[in-house]
Amino acid sequence: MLKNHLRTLGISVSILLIWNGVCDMIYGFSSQLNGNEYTSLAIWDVMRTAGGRPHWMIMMAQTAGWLYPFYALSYYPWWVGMKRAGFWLGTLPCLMLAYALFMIGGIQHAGWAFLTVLAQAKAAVGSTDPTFYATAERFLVEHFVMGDLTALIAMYGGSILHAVGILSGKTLFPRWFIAFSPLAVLFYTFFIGSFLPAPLAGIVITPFGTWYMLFPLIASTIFLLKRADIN
Amino acid sequence: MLQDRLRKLGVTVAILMLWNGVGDFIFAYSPKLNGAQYSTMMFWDAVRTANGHPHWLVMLAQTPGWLYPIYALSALIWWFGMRRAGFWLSTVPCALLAYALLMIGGVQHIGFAYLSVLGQAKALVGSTDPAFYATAQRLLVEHFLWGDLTALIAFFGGTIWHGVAILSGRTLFPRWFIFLSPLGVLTFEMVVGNFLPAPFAGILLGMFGTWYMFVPTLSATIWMWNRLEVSK
Repeated sequence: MLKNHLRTLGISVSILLIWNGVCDMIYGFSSQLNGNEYTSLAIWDVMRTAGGRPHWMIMMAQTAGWLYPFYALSYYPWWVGMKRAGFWLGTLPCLMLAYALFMIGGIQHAGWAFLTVLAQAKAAVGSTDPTFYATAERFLVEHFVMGDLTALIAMYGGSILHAVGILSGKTLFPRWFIAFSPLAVLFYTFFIGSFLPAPLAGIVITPFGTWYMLFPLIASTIFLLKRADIN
Repeated sequence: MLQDRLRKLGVTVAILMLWNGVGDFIFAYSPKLNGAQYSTMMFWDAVRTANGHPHWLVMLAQTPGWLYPIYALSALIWWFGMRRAGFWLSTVPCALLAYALLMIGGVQHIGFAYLSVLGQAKALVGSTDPAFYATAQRLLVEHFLWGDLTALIAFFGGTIWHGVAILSGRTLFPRWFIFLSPLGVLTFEMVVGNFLPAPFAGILLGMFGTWYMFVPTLSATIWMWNRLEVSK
């Protein structure tokens, strides 16, 4: 029964996560940036203009934000495998990661679009008031960061705590399973991506949020489905 | 055990919802608007300028958005009281309301701040490019509404569905509880608020989202307080 639920959940959410990857690419992919440039201010230029992509496409990119409450279910398999480690090492990290995704859907994924608004307007009608433009852009960024604050804390804090939970050896997952944890996937994405040339770097780094959710979900689901003591 | 947890959950969530009222008050309260004016473009003027509030205050108004995943737990209290009505009259409306709150925190409550960004910048440094201003404002609104689309559908669809479930008489709540349900509170706010003069209309209508969550959560928590069926 539980295995059936886990299988259904794993497959459904994995499929839905692919759409997030498409939307990530719309927001942040650049065919001209290599891996190093993805950690420089060059990526900010891509993000705040969405690479010059049209308004309708940026609206399409927002749509993955609608699915984040479903993406948050991806921590259910992790919780099933970690709950025996107790509240602090099992439930808390999964709750933090779920909270992060609940928030990220609205404030971050759907919210990226707001960062591109001024560039979209400038592309459409031009801009002759640089002071106003700069002030409005600063406010947009500040509201974005402020709104995103708890999501970021929960995402990074939860990822680290989750990894500590796995490394404790008290969960159903073996310690080596840290290699499939959200923290590890985040590390691989940026480490490998930073050495890649354009446009490969963009394919690896831009949808980092998608890999961050997708690979750990697939790994934890497969692991649990192979366990005989999960029913 | 379960009942005790539900009590704690209901009281905690209801208290946290009061902070949402502060955020709503900053974003949308206007002492100059009467009830009828709240459904005109005058209200939009208040929103898009954040009533002239300073930037730090608008940022403060965003902070209740962080709590919406906790506010969404209020659906759990309803669900325990409605589950005997079956999946379609309990799980579905409660899941829709929970989804709506999960989305509204980020895309709507925190997102309200984006609608006032141009107004804030104009108040600070002026604006000499009306074509750019109007285009940027249009795009901001479009992205706001688009991001909010599924939340709005779930909000209104879930509210009506939830009301239907209460009226079915198959839940733990009596039919008259419709008056304290999200649908009842929303209807009350819109009808009564519409006739209120300034500044009272703003207290009801500017903070309509808070009352929409707070009153039903508190009511359901109190109603379920000693209902033993909750643990079955």
